[in-house]
Amino acid sequence: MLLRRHVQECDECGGYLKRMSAVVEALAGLEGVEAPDEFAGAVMSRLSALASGAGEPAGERRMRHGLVWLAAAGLGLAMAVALAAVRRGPGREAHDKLAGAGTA
Amino acid sequence: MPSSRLSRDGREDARLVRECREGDDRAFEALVRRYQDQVFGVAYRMVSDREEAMDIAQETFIKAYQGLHSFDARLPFRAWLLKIGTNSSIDHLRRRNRSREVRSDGYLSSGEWVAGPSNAGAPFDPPGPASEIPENVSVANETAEVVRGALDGLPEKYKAVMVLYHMEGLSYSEIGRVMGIPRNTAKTWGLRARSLLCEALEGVM
Repeated sequence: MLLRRHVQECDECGGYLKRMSAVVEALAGLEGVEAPDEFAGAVMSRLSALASGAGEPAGERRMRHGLVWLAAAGLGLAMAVALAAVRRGPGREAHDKLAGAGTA
Repeated sequence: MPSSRLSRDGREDARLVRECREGDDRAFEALVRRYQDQVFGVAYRMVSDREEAMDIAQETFIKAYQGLHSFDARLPFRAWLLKIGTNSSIDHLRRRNRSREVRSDGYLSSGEWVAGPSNAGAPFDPPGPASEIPENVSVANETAEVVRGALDGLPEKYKAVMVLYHMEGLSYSEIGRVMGIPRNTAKTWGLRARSLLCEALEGVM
């Protein structure tokens, strides 16, 4: 009651209350905003693109592909070296055995 | 919060999240459709640009999808989603403000002139006096226009509280959860924000 009377009599407080009410009314009155119709479709397309790797930045995709190629090349080289070692190993052993038998 | 204490909407969200985790993308699409207006609305009210809001809102859902494994389904999905959206909007505004920092000579870093040296670094810049507003608009429209302009000048965290409270209808407790602050802090920021908006109206009413 005292507060109400004060607000009615005090220009400063009355003005503040009037402005505050106007602010609250203006904020509540701001119209709602709806997402565009294509929104959900756009999100799902971006998720599909990400899942297939197309959504990655080009630099990252190139780097990832480069690493895959590097790993494949390394694996190929390791297999080639192993194969060469296998082929060479028994041949030399057999050669040594033969040489040993010849001298005996 | 146990899932039994969630609202009916909250339980439906929890079911969709569970299906989504099991690999059903249609469940995630249902969540997108359910919350797209709210997430887009918050982003738009924060950045005041439809294209930028569209990007932020889409990013929000993509981050949510990627983070679903870490989401605690006993908590409200809506609050978690709005947290991602609000933080993304605040980050976007901060990046935008940094890139638009006014140099002491009144030019933007991009070279565009915007203001005299006296305006550099001003934290809050209410719109001009009523005389600058066209005379043929009603007083209520004038007021709404001034408030909308002043809202754009608020610090990001105050603006977020205003958008979530007045436009999305969240309580201060929910705002606290969304913004990761105590309820009373959310309330204090709300009071401070409204007080700043009142200052903007001083030349009008």
